Amino acid sequence: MDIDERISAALGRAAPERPGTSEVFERVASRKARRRAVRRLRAPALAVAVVAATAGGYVLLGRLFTAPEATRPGAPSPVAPSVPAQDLRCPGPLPFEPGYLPSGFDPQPVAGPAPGAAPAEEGQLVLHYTDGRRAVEVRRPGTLFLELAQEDDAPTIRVLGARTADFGPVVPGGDEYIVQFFHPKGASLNDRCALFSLNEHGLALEELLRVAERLRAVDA
Amino acid sequence: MRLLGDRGSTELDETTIRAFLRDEYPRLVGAVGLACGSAATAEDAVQEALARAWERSERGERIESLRAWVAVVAINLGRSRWRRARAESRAWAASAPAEARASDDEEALDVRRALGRLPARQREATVLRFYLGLDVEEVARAMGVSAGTVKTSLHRARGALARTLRQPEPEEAPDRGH
Repeated sequence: MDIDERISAALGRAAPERPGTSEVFERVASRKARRRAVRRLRAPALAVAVVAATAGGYVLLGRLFTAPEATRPGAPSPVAPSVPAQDLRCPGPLPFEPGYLPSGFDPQPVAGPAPGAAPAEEGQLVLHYTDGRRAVEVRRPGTLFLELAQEDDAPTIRVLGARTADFGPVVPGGDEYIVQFFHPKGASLNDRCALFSLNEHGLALEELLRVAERLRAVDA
Repeated sequence: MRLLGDRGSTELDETTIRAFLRDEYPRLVGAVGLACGSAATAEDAVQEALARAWERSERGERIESLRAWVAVVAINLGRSRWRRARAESRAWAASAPAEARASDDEEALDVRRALGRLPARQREATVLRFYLGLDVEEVARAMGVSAGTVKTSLHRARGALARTLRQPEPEEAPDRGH
């Protein structure tokens, strides 16, 4: 028996006891249904929890942002608690601007969501940059997803260089990627207006990350 | 190995999931348990990974090898959950005896401890290659690294495990897995 065969045999003996499969299907189906329900929530209008980057790692704060209950007429809301509507208005202009946009994009922002994207909530600032076919949205307060923001395998990146923000699991939305972050760095996690998101429509993830990492802070 | 079709395919359904659980689940839990050091964490991680795959397939996402995909996602999930519980090295030192089974022989315990001392990439490649039986190309695709990186990882892991198994170490790095 050569070394590879010995390793395979030894691993076979070292592996945990084989588990039973009774009721495993039901548990998997339940998890899948829950994930699907959360994804359908999609828009920033639902109760969300914030996962914050700390020196020790991610900590689920369990902080619920209150917001309007439904994003669209008839939209399912199977997991969100019922919460009162609140105005999402934030003072002042955006504190940053793009330092990079994909080729063909107009550097002038267009007010409102990208075509086909979730509508803005009451008071939410939404603008987008586009080449007429693809778009990058900026949302303030940003899009957050209760469960998706906690995905263990979500990569994290720095946005706005190293200067202002270091938060943001890149989460796959239904069909798009979303970069979430707090700005300025060190902002209170209770401050909804410090939460931003970049939502891509038709861009590769790498392009979205490039846009996020090259944002430039604008001094007030 | 289960292959999902192109975008729009609905190949993952209750029947295929049940078949996957029957045919692959126990061995996948074993693989993830070896990689992350906890059988309970492994079961939870494999179930979560399979749910993610199923949900993604419903949205038309292509997953080339369901077994490899679930294995890698579950290993990543298991590792991060385990790491959250305690520092990985401490967890491994403590977990080997705790996870021991009645039928464990000394060599099995030694191998488990040796696995726990390997860097994560080497440990994952070792489990995927030598326990799940994936070939080098499959391991590389599943881990998102090059075949050369997998071969290097396997070579180093093989050396460490050979010492545990008191077997002469291989002199070169050929992997006959593909």
